[in-house]
Amino acid sequence: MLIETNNLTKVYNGKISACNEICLSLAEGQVFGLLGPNGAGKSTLVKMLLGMVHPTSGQALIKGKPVNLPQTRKSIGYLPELFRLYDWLTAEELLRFYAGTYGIPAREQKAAITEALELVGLTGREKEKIKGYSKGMQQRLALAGAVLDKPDLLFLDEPTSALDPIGRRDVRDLLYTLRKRGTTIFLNSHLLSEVEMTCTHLGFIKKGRMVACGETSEFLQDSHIITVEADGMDPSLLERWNQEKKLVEVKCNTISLTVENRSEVPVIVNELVHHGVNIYHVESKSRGLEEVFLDLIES
Amino acid sequence: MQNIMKLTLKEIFNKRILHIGIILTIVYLLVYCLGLHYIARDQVGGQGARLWFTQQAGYQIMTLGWYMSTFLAGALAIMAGIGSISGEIENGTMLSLVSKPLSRRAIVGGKFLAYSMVTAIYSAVMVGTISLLARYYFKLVMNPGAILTGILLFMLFPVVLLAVAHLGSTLMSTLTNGITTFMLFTVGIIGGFMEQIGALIGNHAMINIGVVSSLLIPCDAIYRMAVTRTGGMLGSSFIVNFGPFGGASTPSIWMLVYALIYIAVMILLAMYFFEKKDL
Repeated sequence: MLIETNNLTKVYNGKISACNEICLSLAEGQVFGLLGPNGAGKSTLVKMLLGMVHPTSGQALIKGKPVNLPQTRKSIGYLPELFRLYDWLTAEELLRFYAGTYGIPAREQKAAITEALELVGLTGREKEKIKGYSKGMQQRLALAGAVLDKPDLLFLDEPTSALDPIGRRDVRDLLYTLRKRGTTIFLNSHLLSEVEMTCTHLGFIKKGRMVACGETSEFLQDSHIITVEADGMDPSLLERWNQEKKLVEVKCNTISLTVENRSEVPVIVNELVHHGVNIYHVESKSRGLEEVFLDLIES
Repeated sequence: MQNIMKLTLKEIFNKRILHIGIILTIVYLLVYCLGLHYIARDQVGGQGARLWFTQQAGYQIMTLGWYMSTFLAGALAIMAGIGSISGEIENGTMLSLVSKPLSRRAIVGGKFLAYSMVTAIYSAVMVGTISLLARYYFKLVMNPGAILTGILLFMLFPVVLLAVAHLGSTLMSTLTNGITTFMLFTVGIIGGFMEQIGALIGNHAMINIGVVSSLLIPCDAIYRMAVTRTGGMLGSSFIVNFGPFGGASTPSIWMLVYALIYIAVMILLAMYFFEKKDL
């Protein structure tokens, strides 16, 4: 396993529990999306995995080594959410400094910098002072700094928060490229659509506890949400669907149901017709990550 | 550590505060130079007692220049050191830095060495220039070895303050650290002042207050040692040591040993606390 945590716990001031006994295993090549509401403990978990926050108890290992050792971080790239760069440097100077910290030999630095800038679409801007960069360009540069030494493991904390839609697409493309290279990616993002599109595995964290963890496909199985606009609804039917945990919402003449399989849609419609309900409109759509997220977090 | 040192030096030379500091130091030296010019024009010359008097006045004015330099060197060291770690945590650059394969000890050590180098050289150039100006205008008889020893000792003065500021920077916010370090600096200065007056009037309680304040922060003791070494070999130690700017109560060599241990302990503690800090 590339990342392995064992009952990782962080309690601030002896009472505020930011992370609670988190056990997590990430294999090489996975793109892991960590999801949770604000204050759930996502950033604390990422910081513990990077050795920035010391756990109160438990252990985190990367490639089998403790995370607080500098040599463990040799194979890690990190883009913080609230990043800030040394804006009195040029992009090239900043990346050269980072290259030095990774121990990239001087003769190889130029090539590594050129490649990283090309990956994030900043070729030709390397001689400019960072203070002249837009927020989005700075985020791209920070990303270039994170991938400079071709890390085996890349932590991205809200990597597209300052980017426009084109920039977001570019970052998604970059993640695909890195994934093809075999880079393991740990993505922390509020943009569920982005996570849904890029992540192979998901983890849901709530009040410092990992409430669900697994392959993305497990969470996004063939479940569907059916919205029916009708009148003359039979209360016994609603009661049964509620007991079967299919009923999501009843609003005026509209009901929303969740079904495990698309093939259940005509069955539901037949039942409604059979109970003499007048149907005006039926809509079926697959259940997205947003619904999964809300179910897990609000339950 | 080398990477951090290089980056810190680059930062120092890129920041406007250093440029302004250098310009204001030049202004300070020009004002000092003008003062020397007018005093020397009216006082220098003559034979016998008058020559002796102008020589002693020259040493006194040189000592005054050194003493005033402690404020400039001290202010530079405090301003440089107070945000060394906390400033980077507060503005967000530290997160990227600590995620790199660097030990936190290297970050503290690299920054401290870079700032020490700059502030020590700055201090040496400043007091060196003052000594040369005093020599030129007052035709002072100087022992170059003694002056060099004094300058080398004076270079430790900002390093003591930097070490304190670095430790504070790992424990407090930049603002709180700035106030704390400046207060400690003031305690050292006042304590040193009292020690000198105590030595002149023979009051042991005042001398002891100075010794305790020097144990708390040995910057003033370093200054006294530096200025005493400078004047002590001139054959004019009495007049150089006379007054609150001189070294009437001279710290022993053990105070130098103490100051070196003090700096090392401060930096080791800074490394320890930064290592333990949650970012």
